Amino acid sequence: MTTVAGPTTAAAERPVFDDRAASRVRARRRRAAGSSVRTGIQAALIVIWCLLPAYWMLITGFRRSDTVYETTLLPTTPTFDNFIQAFNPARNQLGRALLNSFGIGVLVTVIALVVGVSAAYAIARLNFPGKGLIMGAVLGASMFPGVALLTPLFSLFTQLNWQGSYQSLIIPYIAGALPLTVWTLNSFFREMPWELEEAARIDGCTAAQAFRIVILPLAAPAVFTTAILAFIGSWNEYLLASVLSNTQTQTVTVAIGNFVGSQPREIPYATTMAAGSVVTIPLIILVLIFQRRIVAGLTAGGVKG
Amino acid sequence: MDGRRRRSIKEGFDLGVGFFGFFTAAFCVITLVYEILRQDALGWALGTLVLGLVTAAIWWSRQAVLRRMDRAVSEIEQDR
Repeated sequence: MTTVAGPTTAAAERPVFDDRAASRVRARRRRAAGSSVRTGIQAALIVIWCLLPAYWMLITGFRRSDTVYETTLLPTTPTFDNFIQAFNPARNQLGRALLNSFGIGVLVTVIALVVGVSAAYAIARLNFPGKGLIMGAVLGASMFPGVALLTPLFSLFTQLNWQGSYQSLIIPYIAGALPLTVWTLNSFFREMPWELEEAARIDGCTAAQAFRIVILPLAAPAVFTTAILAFIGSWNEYLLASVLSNTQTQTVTVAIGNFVGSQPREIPYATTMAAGSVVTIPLIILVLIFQRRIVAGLTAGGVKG
Repeated sequence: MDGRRRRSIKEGFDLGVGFFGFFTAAFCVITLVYEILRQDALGWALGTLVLGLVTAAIWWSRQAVLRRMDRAVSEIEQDR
């Protein structure tokens, strides 16, 4: 005799199954919610960790010089005096230094990009012997310690009568930015499909036109990322600028280091912090403007298809 | 043997040769300058020697590996 499970049995089993499935779904949702809360807390901790020094710099810039060692989260008696003092040409040269840094940074970035893009494209796309050797030498040049170059550069520029000139800063900065430019863009160009270039050539473009019209617009994210990195590198450089510049050509980092207080032997912490906040603003603006392109450029070339 | 794999191995070795070759050239120039200035250049000269040997060793390994790969490819083709 066989027993056939009728509709009544199936109907009796279904609610049990549904309950289990529902509880499993609920547990999964709880786990997902817990995971997102954990992720949020971790992200908040990282953000606080990164931004706390910048926040402290900003609020110290608003403190009066006699309350600069306060540890309150907000200044008790906020003042703009430090920002005014930072730009006081009688005492500090921040205004001129900002212009110098900006001009040097833009020039370095433009020259490094023009040379770096061409070099990276040639190394990535053209077939010639010794490509790996060149990339190895570029890598070696980028790892050469800057402090080892300080004395030879000082000696060289003194002999050339370039000491304290703009070119004595621009040339070493370009040399520092070029390896980064070539490496970043080379890895990007290598990942780009060759077919695009071939299609452009078939459509009648010369090699230079194919590069300019097809490849370069596609490489814009990587070019922007590299430009930002080169600019930030030039903007933040201190070691070479402290030795190779004078009061007319000094950059912001050197100008801030040379700040003098209102009293002899006084270290103007609050004015320095105010100047530090001002100096950070151009970088923040640049990064905010090009944020999307930077992220695209940083992730491009990282995944092989 | 895949041509792409051969190229990537070759590029890896070339990178090493270029990297150490750069420092060998830099150390060599420093040694020469120290010699011209009549300063003690023994340390720099030894550094140049060591780096030169490392570069030569990488170059030799590159040639050996590539030769072995080519031989393996030709043996496989002969078996076919």
